[in-house]
Amino acid sequence: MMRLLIAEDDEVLRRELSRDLESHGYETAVPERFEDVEDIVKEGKVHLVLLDVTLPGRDGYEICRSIRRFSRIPILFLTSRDTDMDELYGMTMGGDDFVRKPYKMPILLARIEALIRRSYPDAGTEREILWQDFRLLPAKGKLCRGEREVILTRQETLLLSCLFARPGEVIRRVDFIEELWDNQVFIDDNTLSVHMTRLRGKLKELDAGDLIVTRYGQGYLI
Amino acid sequence: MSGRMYWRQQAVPVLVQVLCLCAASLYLRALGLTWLQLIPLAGAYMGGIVLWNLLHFLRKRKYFHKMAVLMESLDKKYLFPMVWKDADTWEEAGYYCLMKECTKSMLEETEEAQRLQKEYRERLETFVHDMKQPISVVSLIAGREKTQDNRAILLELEKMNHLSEQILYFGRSESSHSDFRIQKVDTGAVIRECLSMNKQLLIQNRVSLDIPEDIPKVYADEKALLFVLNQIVYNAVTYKKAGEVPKIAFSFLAAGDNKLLLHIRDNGCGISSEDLPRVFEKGFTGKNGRENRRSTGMGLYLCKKICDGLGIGLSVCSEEGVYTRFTICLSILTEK
Repeated sequence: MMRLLIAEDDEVLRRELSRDLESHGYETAVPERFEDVEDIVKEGKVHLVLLDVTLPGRDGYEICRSIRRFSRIPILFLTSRDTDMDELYGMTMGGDDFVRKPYKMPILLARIEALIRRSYPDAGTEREILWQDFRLLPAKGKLCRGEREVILTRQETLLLSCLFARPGEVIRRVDFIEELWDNQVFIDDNTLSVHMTRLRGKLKELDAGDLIVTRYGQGYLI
Repeated sequence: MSGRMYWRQQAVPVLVQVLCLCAASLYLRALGLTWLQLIPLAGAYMGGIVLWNLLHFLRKRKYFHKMAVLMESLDKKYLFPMVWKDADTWEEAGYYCLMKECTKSMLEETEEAQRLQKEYRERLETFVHDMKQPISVVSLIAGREKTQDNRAILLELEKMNHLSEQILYFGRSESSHSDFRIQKVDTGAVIRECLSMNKQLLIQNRVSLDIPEDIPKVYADEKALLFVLNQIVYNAVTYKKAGEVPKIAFSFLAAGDNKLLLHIRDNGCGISSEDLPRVFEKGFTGKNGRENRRSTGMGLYLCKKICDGLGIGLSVCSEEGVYTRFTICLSILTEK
């Protein structure tokens, strides 16, 4: 399990952020004194640091520089000062990436995931989603059932992983749309129907043409 | 600076001298000189006065002419006393000192005003940045459960964020120096970020989008470009046509060797032909603005100002009731 260190001075934001990250399968370390940040990193139990730029006492850049003296742990800056110079400065201090406030959770999660994948290439094999006898490989865009497999588009993969994540539950059309938008696929209501139809066509190839049930006026479910 | 004015000024000293000459003549006459003997004296004296005054006038005229020429050549007129060093009479030196004093004090006042303005701008920026903290927190909380209420909150947060960006860029646009940084920009990524920022606005208004693949990369200031796109997208939704699915289509066209024309076209209510030439004016709201009371007339003005500062072309064409199309002219990045 990946453990993230959150160095953020706003107590409410810190709490909410750590709650969200924990609900997405990360462990969090939330120091209240920023003097301890380096010690926690030294202990070696965290895998990534989320560092706010504006901290009381020492700013994020300074902490970053001091961490870099002994560790190559990935550092993601959280910044509300959005002038380019600040970002540039953060990078020269040894930061790996930055996310601007107000950040959206899906974007922050995507950046964290990308950084972790880059920094810990051997940690964990490709994520796959299993449901009944189906095996969905999101990164490859492949759906397997037994020996057979079909290639899915990005849209179809996202739709299916949505459905697999909440089986038996009616997922509303707008939920699908939002989920896809969070992954930077900007579909609208009409195109959602089109992609659903195509997905059903591909499922038919795996003898599961009626896997997805339509609830008119509500949404879809499996 | 007419000649007559000069002679009027010199009238009193000349008159005094003539009176003195008369008195001297009467005295010499009493001592026994004849009138005839006094004529050469009076003639020479009067001649001297006239000649001196004439030369003095010519000198003064030349002096002022030189000043006028110098003033003409100056870009910042108030710097005149700093440049003018030529004071060789007692009177000129006196005026010169006063003038210099005036300018110095004026410059101090201006500097103080500029300093205050800069401080104000910086404070404002800090406040706006601090405002993003609570926006972050609320959007994290509201983003957890997908309920109707939370979606409404997220939409309002998007508007708040949009307004706070406007304040930032307004503050920047009014100051003389600009914080723009030209760099390589992935145009497609900026468009996607813009759409993500307006996620609730676009989804809740059921906007249909058309985004081309493989848009060339450009040279621009990323955040400024984002701001401009944001404003255009925001306007497209705000001024949508009732009873029709709003559409926003991005398209691009390479023009010449290194220009990219990025079109953003909507099917909204359009802009009337009399309003169209004025949409980039500060505070101009026009017919659409009068119908939508929230309109401030600042959004497009800021866009234009930013684009001008960056050397980016921004133009608009529209047909009332049919469409509005903004075109951004960017410089393509040519990889070597």
